[in-house]
Amino acid sequence: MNKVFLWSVNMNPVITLATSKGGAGKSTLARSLGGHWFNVGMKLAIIDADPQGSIINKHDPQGLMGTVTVIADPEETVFNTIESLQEEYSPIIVDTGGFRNRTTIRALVKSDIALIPLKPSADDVSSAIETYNLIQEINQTPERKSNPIKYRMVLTMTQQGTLISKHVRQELVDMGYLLLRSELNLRVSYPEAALKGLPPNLVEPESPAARDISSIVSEINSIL
Amino acid sequence: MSKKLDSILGSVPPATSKKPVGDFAKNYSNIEEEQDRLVAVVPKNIKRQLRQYIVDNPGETEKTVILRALKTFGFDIPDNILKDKRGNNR
Repeated sequence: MNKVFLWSVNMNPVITLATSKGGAGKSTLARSLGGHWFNVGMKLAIIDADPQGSIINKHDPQGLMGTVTVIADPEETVFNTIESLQEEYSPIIVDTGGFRNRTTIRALVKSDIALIPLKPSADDVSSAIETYNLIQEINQTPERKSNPIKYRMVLTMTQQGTLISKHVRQELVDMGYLLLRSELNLRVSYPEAALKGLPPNLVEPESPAARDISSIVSEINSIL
Repeated sequence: MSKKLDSILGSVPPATSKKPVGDFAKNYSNIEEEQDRLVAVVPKNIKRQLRQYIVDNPGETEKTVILRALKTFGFDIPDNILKDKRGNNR
């Protein structure tokens, strides 16, 4: 697939996964997006800016995603790392730590879109809103005022047929927040594939999880 | 960098704690004589493990182990106080 077809305006998009709460699905979503773009032949890079190193620690250079460039940079230098990778890679996915920190802010300043993953729970909702507020604050700086960071919240670990995710979605939409229509449904294939540092869409490209991810990517493409 | 962005960055902590915490090392030469006591109540099992570690690692004391641990958290602790000076007189 030709990347020009995907991103006609921004050729080297930077996509940052951010929320101030751990366990919301940032690394899972980052890895899954990486798996999708790797599957379609993109020359992508993943920056693990989370001090926990969830992605880099499980990345196997000899494995299925071995040829993907994965770099750990949990420091404020992430700003320069993104800049240098942008010359060669597209897209660049940045996974950040689950707390308010300078590295995340530095990454957001360089981002085209911020994805804010959240589980359908009260804690995740307040952290997602806190992250949204941070993005709005950054968008008021001279660095981003003329080109504000786009954002979307993404519901993760949702169980089909349950009311809670519908309720949380409706509440957030009513409050005026932007959410992707697609969700990262709760599926055992995520933790199973993650044991080998892989996303489920790479292990089983025709699986329901792969379809979920593909649907999320389509929405991201339309925003970029 | 704009002042506004600088102010946002200044309001949050760094992601990692590699930088020195406080000015301890800078002022260390002045406060060398100003020793103070640090007391912590810990589970007996931890204390037992600590004692065993000291037995297994000659030259280590409770103080050096704790200081070494603090150093891994980013506290700037000079290497010379990570050695038990009492050992020189024994």
